[in-house]
Amino acid sequence: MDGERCLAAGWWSAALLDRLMPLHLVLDAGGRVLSHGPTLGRIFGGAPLRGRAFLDLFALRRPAGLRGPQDFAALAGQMLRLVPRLPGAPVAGEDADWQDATGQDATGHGAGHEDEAGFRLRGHILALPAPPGPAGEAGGDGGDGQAAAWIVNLSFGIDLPRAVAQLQLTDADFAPTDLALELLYLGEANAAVTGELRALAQRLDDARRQAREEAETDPLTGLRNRRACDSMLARLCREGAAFGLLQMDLDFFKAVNDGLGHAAGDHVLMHVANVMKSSSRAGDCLARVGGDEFVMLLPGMTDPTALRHLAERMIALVSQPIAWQDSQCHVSASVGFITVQAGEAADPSDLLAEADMALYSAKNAGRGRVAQAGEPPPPPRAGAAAAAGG
Amino acid sequence: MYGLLLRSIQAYLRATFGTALWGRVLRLADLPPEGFEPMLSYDQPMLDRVLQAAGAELQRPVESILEDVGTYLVADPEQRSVRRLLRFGGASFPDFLHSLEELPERTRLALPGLDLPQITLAEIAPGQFRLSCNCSFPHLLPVALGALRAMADDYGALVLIDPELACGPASAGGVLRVQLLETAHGRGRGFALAGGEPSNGW
Repeated sequence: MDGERCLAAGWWSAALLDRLMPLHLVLDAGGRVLSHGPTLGRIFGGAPLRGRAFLDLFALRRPAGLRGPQDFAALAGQMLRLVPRLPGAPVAGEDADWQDATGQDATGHGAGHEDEAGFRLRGHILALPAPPGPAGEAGGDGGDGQAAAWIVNLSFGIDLPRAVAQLQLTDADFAPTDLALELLYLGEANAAVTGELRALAQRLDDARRQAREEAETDPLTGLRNRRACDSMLARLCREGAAFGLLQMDLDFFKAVNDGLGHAAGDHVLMHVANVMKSSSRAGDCLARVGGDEFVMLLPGMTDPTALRHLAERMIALVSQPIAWQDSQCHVSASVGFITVQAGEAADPSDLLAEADMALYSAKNAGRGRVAQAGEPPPPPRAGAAAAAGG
Repeated sequence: MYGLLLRSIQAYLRATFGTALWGRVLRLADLPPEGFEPMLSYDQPMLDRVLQAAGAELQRPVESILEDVGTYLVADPEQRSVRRLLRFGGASFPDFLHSLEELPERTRLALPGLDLPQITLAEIAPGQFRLSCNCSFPHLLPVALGALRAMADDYGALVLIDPELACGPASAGGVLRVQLLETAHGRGRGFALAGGEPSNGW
């Protein structure tokens, strides 16, 4: 009795197999489709499959080297990996890259959609034994060990989500024992949780940036504070970068504070901050490191003449009368600066000390002056009130 | 658990009554204006303070607010992932009810460490269910009530859901009675297995 007759005789109930294994095929001894499960039919868009050769419908990726149905017995029990050969898709050889065979969408619509890159199947093939027939028929099955028919059962495996999207499958397309729905559930639950964690990480990162920004900012002037300045100076020194360090101290600031009050003093400090901002570039570090002390770190700026000009321009701007309510504030500034050449590997505290010494010599030269570290102090300014408070 | 609940309350109040009201609730509860993170841990006193403040601001009983939170989680389009994950429980409303017994395991699969209380379902007569929740956590029942009613709508089923009142201290947690009048009463909302994009409606 051949497979066709077994099926016709109800030896295997097709309905039973359909319910148990919606993704199965029953093949005759020659490898042609006798029947198949409903979900398997959906892969081929409902096209009639009966009578088609199994190996025309699927490209077998593993194991390789299959010659034809005569080798099915050797495959029994092994894991098969295969891809459907869909209408219109190039028919790929068994050893071709699987994507060659599955670049097409079985349902034929929505081409170009990302989900429709195709899907792989896995499964196994087993022999279906012939029913015990009348004695006279026993030899008609093809002899010892010869199967009357084959059954192939398949699963979407890890490509399940893609197959579900592409074939628009529902829970009715799976056997109740199938874990497919749990896998889909897990995928979505994972995405939801991961999305939530990503959002949390983003919010925490924003908060961290803001906290850091606040920790490194002088709240009055919006300039960097000493902590930020120290850390950038340390980094520049560590990297052996070339830069200029400029230290600026206000002159006569105490007089403003004492005479016009702290609000006027704050106003002056904000004005000075604006002068510094308008005189600098984006990558410079402008910091207020003390009451009326400022530091500028200027990466790449090692030309003493340019630094001196910059300092003189700022002093000139700061020395303009600053309007405050009905009166005017008069301050000036003294600047000491130092340059560091590339690869010098200077020590941050030495640099600050040297810049400080230059600043002192500028102050001693009579306020409103600029001095470079290691150079002779500027000549005293005629008529400078050397005793005035800074 | 408290993080998820607090975040749900926050999302519901902000979406329904606006950020200004939510800000007032936080101030009244003496809490920082950042609100809550679903993945962080909070304690019950904090939840109680938020609920009390929300009840005072809205002049509504806390239970009714929590019930609306449950409905919001399922029915609001902004929260689509909650509804989708629940719909994976079954193809029909009764199937879904039965899947609730798996809820703690399903949740743990997605988020190890999140322990939801065990839910037990008893079908006492055809179409008559008794859902009991063995937790000492009084706020969960109204949320579950609101969510179940919304899920029934989602499936297009006609059901009556009421808390079982006669529950002594032995049955802390609470019991809901679900009466299924019609499985396919309305059209419900469609559910395709594929089509899950994570939402971020918090």
